[in-house]
Amino acid sequence: MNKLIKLIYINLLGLFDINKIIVARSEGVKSNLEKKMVITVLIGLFYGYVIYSLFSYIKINNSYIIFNIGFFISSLICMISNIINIEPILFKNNDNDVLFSMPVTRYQILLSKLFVIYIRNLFYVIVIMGAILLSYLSYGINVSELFVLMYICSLLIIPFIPIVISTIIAYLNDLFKLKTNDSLLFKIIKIMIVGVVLGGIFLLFKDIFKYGGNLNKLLDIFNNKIKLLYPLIMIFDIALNRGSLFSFIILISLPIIVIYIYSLFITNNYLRMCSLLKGIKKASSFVYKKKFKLGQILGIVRKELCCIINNKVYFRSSVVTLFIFSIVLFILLNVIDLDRFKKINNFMLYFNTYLPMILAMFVTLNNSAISSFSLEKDNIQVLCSMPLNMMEIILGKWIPSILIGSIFVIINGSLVWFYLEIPKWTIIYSYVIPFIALLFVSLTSIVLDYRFIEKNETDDNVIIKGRIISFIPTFLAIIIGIGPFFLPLYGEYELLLGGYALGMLFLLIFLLLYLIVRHKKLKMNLIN
Amino acid sequence: MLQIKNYCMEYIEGKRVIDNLNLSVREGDIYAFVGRNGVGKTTTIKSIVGINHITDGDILLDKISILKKPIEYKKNIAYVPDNPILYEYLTGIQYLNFIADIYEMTYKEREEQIKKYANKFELYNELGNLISSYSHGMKQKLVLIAAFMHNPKLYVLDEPFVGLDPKASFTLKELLKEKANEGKIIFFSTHVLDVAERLCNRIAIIKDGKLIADGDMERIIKDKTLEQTFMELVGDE
Repeated sequence: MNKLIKLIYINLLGLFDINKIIVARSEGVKSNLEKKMVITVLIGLFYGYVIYSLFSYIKINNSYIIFNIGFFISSLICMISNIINIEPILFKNNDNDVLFSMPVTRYQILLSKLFVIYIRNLFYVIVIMGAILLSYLSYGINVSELFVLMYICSLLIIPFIPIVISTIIAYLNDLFKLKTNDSLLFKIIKIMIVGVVLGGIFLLFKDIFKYGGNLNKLLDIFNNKIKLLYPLIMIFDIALNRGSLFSFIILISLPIIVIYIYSLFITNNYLRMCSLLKGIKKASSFVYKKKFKLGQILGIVRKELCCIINNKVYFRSSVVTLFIFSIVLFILLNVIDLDRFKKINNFMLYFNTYLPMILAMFVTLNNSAISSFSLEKDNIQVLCSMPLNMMEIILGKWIPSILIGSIFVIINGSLVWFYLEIPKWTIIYSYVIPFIALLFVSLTSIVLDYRFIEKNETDDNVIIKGRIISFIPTFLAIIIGIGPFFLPLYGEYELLLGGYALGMLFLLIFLLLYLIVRHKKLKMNLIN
Repeated sequence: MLQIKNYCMEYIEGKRVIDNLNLSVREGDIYAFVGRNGVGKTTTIKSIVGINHITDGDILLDKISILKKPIEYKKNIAYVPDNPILYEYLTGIQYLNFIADIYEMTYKEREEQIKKYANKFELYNELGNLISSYSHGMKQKLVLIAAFMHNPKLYVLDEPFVGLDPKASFTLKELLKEKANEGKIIFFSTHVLDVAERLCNRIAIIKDGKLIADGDMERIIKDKTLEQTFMELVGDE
């Protein structure tokens, strides 16, 4: 038991950089642990507030539905996170080699890692379901202590099943990759599975096009579908919403049984699975393909794009996120019937003014330097030994962000142009403003990264700085998108938007000048 | 010729890591740079390749100063770090193409050189795999291929034999001799004094940031082994 607790403790230290803070504190650096925790909590509260506001704003007839939707969303987020994290944490972590050689059981190793994954999932669940409960209470409904108790116990259950499903997916994916030698057949099968998933998502949301205007009807249909898709939600619905104690017992015991069987299977096969998955690599045959000579800057661009594409985690979190935003836009454009709103006084003026800014926010919200200096780590030293100046390196990192973001600027602008009957200036600004915002936010992100990157990561001030800095581009994107809502509107919205674009361009030029003027000193900070 | 003139290096003001280092390395030299841990070998090497700033003095390659014309200087060097630092999410071939782009190699040149050196180091078939799947030795081989393929004037290698299997070590030694015969400059640090004694024609021994021996191998070691000479000069600390 002692060893298990120690293993859990070690794994928890890796969560939220806690260990780095402790090391810094032991070296006598003034601890900012409280600040770090507060920042993390504030960010969580912010997201929770957004969810609470959303559901409080949408007054739905059957308020119970929001619990089911919250259950679904939190499970989905846990699933997405786990699909990305399960394989590297459980099966491909570098500490596995050392742990397997120690006098600890595989069960203890597995449980300690699963516990940390569970804690991370629980954090997401608490944020979302906490907000959902508050939103429910905003309907003016009183709840009993039994309801609260059942609710809390249900929250503890939600994180389990995504862990199980993600492990199965990760294991099957890698097993098939190994068996088929990552052949074309395997890739075709993967594409078909992705197609089935997308088809399922389409079926889930297809009624949006039919019932777009009737939110309550839409939520009812959605509620019924998610209960079929994920039967645990049905049990949750019966247990909490209808107060069935029997259903509650099943709700609690079913995941426990599943996780028990899962842990038995995984423990017995853990060593074999880790060895199996570590051994996966392409067959060693290589055929040289001619590559054209690119200049130095384009060479860096090619390198950055290859890194992004090959790093699946990073690719999903950057490019796929942008893709999801475009899908959301596509759905909204099909759901929203603009003609109904045109009766509102000055609606078209508001719409034509704010649409380009919202599109700008879509494209920049997750664009915090697709290629950042932090990712270089020690490679920055090797780059410094090459015949490159820092401006070339920065440009080489900036261009991939622009290229990838521009694709989505074009997609989003074209969607708006195709679906909406809007004036030509709105269409033009729907391309121009997001593009300029993309240039500005991505360069800001690179400059901040470049300016504040530190080699010595044990300094907890650096860790705090790092976390704040990584959110600045996101906050900038939100300000660009929503900030203008607080400005007075003018009839000549074309001039306002033109001025907005020029303003961002000036800031961009200012940033470039800063880089040109300070690049020598920045370089010294970077490598020393 | 590589010339290091009055080179001084300070990390913290007033505390010199390297103090007034002067040495010259001619074309065709294989120059060993040896010393105990923490005396400033890697610091010196990083200054030679332009990673560290130089507090005082200058470093010139064929009279091109690293301070005044850093880009032109760096076009003629290749650096192999003590720890193979690579982009984990590139494949071997993507990394080599990246290096080829930086050093402005034509597509024909890069094809020839990549095939030549990848076959010499027996890494050709692995070039399609991600660098993250490489062992330490394979990463070291990749860095060496990247260094040799653009045929620079100066090779700066920091403990290049670490992690290499015996065959790759032999290949590396042969390549270094070949390059020296072509008139290139080889400057490397190593802890393996045996290799330094057999491979190098010149040597520098550094202690506490200062050069305590510099010159032809035969003149420095006389009729002793390099190990004996090193222990006498560096002493018991």
